[in-house]
Amino acid sequence: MKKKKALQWINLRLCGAILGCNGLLISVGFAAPTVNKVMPAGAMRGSECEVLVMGTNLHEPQALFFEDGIVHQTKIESVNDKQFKVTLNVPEDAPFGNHRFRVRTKKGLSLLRTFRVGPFPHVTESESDSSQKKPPNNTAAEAQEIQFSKAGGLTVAGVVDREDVDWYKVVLNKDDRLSVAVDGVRLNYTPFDPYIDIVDTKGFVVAASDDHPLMEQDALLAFTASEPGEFFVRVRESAYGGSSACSYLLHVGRFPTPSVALPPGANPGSEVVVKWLGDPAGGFESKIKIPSTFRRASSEVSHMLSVHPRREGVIAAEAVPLRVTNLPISKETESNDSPNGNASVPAPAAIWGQFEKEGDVDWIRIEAPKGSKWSVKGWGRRLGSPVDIILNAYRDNEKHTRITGNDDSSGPDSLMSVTTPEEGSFLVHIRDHQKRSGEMFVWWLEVEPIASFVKLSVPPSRTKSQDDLFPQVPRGNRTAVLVNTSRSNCNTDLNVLAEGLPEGVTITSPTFQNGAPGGFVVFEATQEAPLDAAMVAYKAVDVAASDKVLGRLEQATEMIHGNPNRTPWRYSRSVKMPVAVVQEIPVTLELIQPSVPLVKNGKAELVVRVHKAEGFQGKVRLYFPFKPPGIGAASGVDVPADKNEVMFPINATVSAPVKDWDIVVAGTVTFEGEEAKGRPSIRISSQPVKLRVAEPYVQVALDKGAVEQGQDTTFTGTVTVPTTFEGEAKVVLLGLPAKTKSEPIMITSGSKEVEFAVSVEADAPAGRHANVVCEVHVPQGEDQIIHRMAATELRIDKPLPVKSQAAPKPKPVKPKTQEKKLSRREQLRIQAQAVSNSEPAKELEGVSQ
Amino acid sequence: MNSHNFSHGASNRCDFLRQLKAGSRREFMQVGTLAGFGLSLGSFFSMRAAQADAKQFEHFEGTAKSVIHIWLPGGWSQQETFDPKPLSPLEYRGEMGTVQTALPGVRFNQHLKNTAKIADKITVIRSMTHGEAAHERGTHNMFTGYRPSPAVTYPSFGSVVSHELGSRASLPPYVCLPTLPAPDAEAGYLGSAFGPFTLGSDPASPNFTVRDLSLPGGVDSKRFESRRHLRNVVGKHFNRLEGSENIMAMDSFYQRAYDLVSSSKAQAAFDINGESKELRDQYGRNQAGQRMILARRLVEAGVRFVTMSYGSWDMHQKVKQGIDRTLPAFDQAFTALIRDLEQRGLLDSTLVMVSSEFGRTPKINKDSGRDHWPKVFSTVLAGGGVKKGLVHGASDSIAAEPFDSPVTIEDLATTVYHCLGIVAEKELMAPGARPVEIVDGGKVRHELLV
Repeated sequence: MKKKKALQWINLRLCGAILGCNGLLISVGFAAPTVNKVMPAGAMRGSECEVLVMGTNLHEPQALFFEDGIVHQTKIESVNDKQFKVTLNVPEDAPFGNHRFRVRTKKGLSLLRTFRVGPFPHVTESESDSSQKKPPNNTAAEAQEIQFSKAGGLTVAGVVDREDVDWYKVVLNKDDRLSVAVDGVRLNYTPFDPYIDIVDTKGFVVAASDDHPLMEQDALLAFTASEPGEFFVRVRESAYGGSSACSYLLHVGRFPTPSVALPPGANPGSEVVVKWLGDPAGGFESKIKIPSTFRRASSEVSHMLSVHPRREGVIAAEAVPLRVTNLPISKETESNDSPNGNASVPAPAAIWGQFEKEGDVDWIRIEAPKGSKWSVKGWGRRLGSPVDIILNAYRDNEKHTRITGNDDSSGPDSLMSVTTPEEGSFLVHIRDHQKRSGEMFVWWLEVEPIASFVKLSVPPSRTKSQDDLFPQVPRGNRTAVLVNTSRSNCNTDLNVLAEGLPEGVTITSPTFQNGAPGGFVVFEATQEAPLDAAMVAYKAVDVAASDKVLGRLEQATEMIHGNPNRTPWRYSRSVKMPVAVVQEIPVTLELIQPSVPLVKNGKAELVVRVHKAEGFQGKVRLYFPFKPPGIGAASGVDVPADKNEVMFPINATVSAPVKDWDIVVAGTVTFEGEEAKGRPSIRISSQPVKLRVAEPYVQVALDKGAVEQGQDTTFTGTVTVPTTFEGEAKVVLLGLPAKTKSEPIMITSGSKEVEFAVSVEADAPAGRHANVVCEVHVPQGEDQIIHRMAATELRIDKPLPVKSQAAPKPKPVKPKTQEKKLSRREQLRIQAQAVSNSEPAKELEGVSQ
Repeated sequence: MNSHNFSHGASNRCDFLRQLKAGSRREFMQVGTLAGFGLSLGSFFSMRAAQADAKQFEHFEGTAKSVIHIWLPGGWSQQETFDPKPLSPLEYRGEMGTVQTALPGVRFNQHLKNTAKIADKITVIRSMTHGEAAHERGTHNMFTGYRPSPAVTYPSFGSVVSHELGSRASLPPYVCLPTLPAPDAEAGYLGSAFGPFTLGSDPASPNFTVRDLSLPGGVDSKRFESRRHLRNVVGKHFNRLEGSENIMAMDSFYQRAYDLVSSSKAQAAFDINGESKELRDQYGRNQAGQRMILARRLVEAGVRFVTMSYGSWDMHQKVKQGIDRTLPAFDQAFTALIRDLEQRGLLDSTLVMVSSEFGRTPKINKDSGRDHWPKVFSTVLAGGGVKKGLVHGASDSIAAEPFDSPVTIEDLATTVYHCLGIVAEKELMAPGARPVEIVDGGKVRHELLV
């Protein structure tokens, strides 16, 4: 009984933890449709399957929008606002691995999810398939029996619930091969760490795997039966956790399990013979053709090809990565264990090798013009090799002086920049961190010129989320997207262009100025634009020559967040992001062009007109998406229901660059009632306008003030006018303490000083009041340019206590003592003391005259 | 023996037992056994010698008889509560408005419109400062007056009060509403005998009952007495085996638990339904209101130190929306509490302290929130001998640093203990015969006191 209670308590604890885990899946701030799960999470290549999509705001589903357009739907059937069914066609030539998709409804696109294409036919775990009405597969006696087909493998789509252990029974003959792999965390639903093992009928674990270098938290193992009989494959969460979100695809069969390719890279379009390493049965070779282009946008970022090699006709369940590069490729030469070998490789180049013998280190001589700069990248772990590369560069002279080095700039892999010394060559020393070795310890080196490029990315509107990474433009409206720029040796101003926009959508790109961390673009859809979505490639071009492409989008979308502190566990990268056209909404924004500049350390209010259609009942909250350097803005302004024009406050720091900037105001429109179904809120924006940041027209330096309670005083300051203005400017003192008063004064371009009369009441708070500032309102036309001056201090003292008039005490008469005789040095010191004491008195006299 | 005149020398073995941490009743037997085996004669005499050297001070008649500690977990934003900066630049100021208070020239956040009217009854410290920007470390500071140490687990204010002043009117001296707000609110090296009594249930819930004040379902009073008798039989057996003093400590703890379960007065104190509907409405029918009214009810009945927590103030994102959600209920309840205490004549003898582990960053972050900032933040005191209508200290123009009269947590703790008649310089005995001052190096800030 007690044990049962304890278990219940543990269940509650786990439940709490798992609820927390599930919470990570749900994006609080994202108001469009969301997808929490699809069942099954993948399908076999060359098949058609029905998928149940579960989430929120799934009203009127239009499509599963696959970004690469390879997998496509043939049928869609709405169930309710939380789920719908879709039939998918996975073509025979679909690449294996994750295919990015979103749900598209009439009111928007969902967050990014992935659907996994594999090589084997699918079955469903009996426990998670309610239609089968079979008992749970939680013990050996209840194990679900599986038989793999001629294809050499079978995929089971299952779920590890809380404390769940799923048992599968396999019958093997003596010397039969059993390979098991699981896709868990790589399905991109939740931070799920699966664990697999194989047990025999006596209950002994004969093979087990938790994590694998190629597969992150997922697991892979291979086993050969020493005697015939039944064996059980078990799947669980590594710490006996789990939840309904912990879906997995378990691959069971006799497939090979290589993890490293030799050579680990190839040129596009080439045909190469690759030896696949890592399978317990030994390496094997096959000839493959490297495609000239990548079919998935995610591969374009990494330039990695995922290859599933075949051995004896059976395809591997897990891919082996292969680097694809245009660099000339060469293998390391023999006897390169010291810096004194003769062989050299001209840069640029890709070189590969192995640490085959114990303690092996390799030296590569790179020939390059003196003074040329090179990026030297070491690859190991990213290619499935267990090696943890350390790179060092040395001069190619007798002393072999070290130039630079790197260990882990690219995860466990390495990256360094080298400038070629006067010898016209340099040496790259490459080793494993612990000088381990073996056939699998393969390394790959790339030496490329340091390029000038720009990487574009869209920051989420909320950290650790996918919120607002792409525009959902209502018909007849605009949406701004913030774009960050990461520059390398590129200091020109940019424009951002978009290729592949949906019909009826245009892009406006203000100038992305050098020195700013990025900028924004505005997408605008016509009233007639079809409700559709398209994958759009952003590219950065020189503002002076639009055909000079300087960079492109490389978007890392955070897929899973886990411990600690909601750290992103997995990203999905792509060179394209969607742009969607959605139903029109009854609100548009108009930003009025400011007629006066914003001065350094000044402030201004932007006028925003919010055009609301008759009968609109929702809410509008404005924000300022792009803040140029030195410009601050309110984090948001709520538009009152009864107003159509609001002021949006902004200010500039003293160090704001004097420049013209493009700015925009955006708004979140939140719906109520019927309109909110399927889309509680959406983001729109105004058109861009220009904002000029200027030097201050006026400077007022206030002196510190001090006054006693109940007294009047004057606060003085000097005025300088770098830019003349017409008329009179009003100067106001702000931040005065309670019970003190001062009236505004007027100055002109010719003013040199200001003097404020300040009255201080008798009970004004005594002390230092350091936040007294003055504002100068300089007129220009019908507007005013508001300047804020540096703060000064007003000190309010309590009046000194009145001295008592009591008669002075008579001085005690000192008894006469014998005077000490002073040395000459002591006499001089006393004289000097007397002189210095008398000097201030003279000065005071001088002042009084 | 009156716990006011508690002498270390006379019952040092009891003290040792109290230092052992026993988390629940279930753990008592374990603790007793450990103590029985663990205390050698050598350690007994070394502890006695250490206590002879420890600094001892008698308690005196303090201005405060009780404390209500309102704990706002997460780190509240000083800018969006008691120290707004309406003249600072937008990115520092935030987007919230301010309200004029009853004190000339003093403004609070727009949601503190009720508190603003009673600003002349409270003291706002705008210059609290410490150096711990992590939740658990900041919380430790604010509950114990000490920076966290890997060597010693320090007792919370409530536990020290429990240790020094003991219980009153058959009520637990230290109560946490509704649950333990943090591990730092426990008794640390003093041992769980001085730990808080927690409700385990929210007073704002319509089905609110206090977990340990009623007999478990299926256990009637006869069965309870039978169980109690059974335990006494077992206890006597251990008395003969182990010597009396260890077991006496256990007995006293059990006795207090029995007293609580069987005391109708105690049960009445925790019965929130004893308050009028109108008054409960005045406090607000929400977590803040019902916890504060229960806190008032408990101190009125005799509980010395009530810690109640409210809200989640860790507003890294959308601080305005968070404050919109959280502050109005606090404003209503806090104002009702001060007025209620005043009307009952309890304000001058009840110290109300509102604190949080730290403040928030001067600048609004990219998610429209503010992050952790311990360099300067606000704490509010009221009643129990502190001045009425005082804003003490100041932060600088952007609430980044203390500008005037910084108050450290050591000073605040020493001042709170002073109000209760406890000399914070007094040394208590930590494990390893280590005398530890209640607060190390704090000063009584007389400028805060009447």
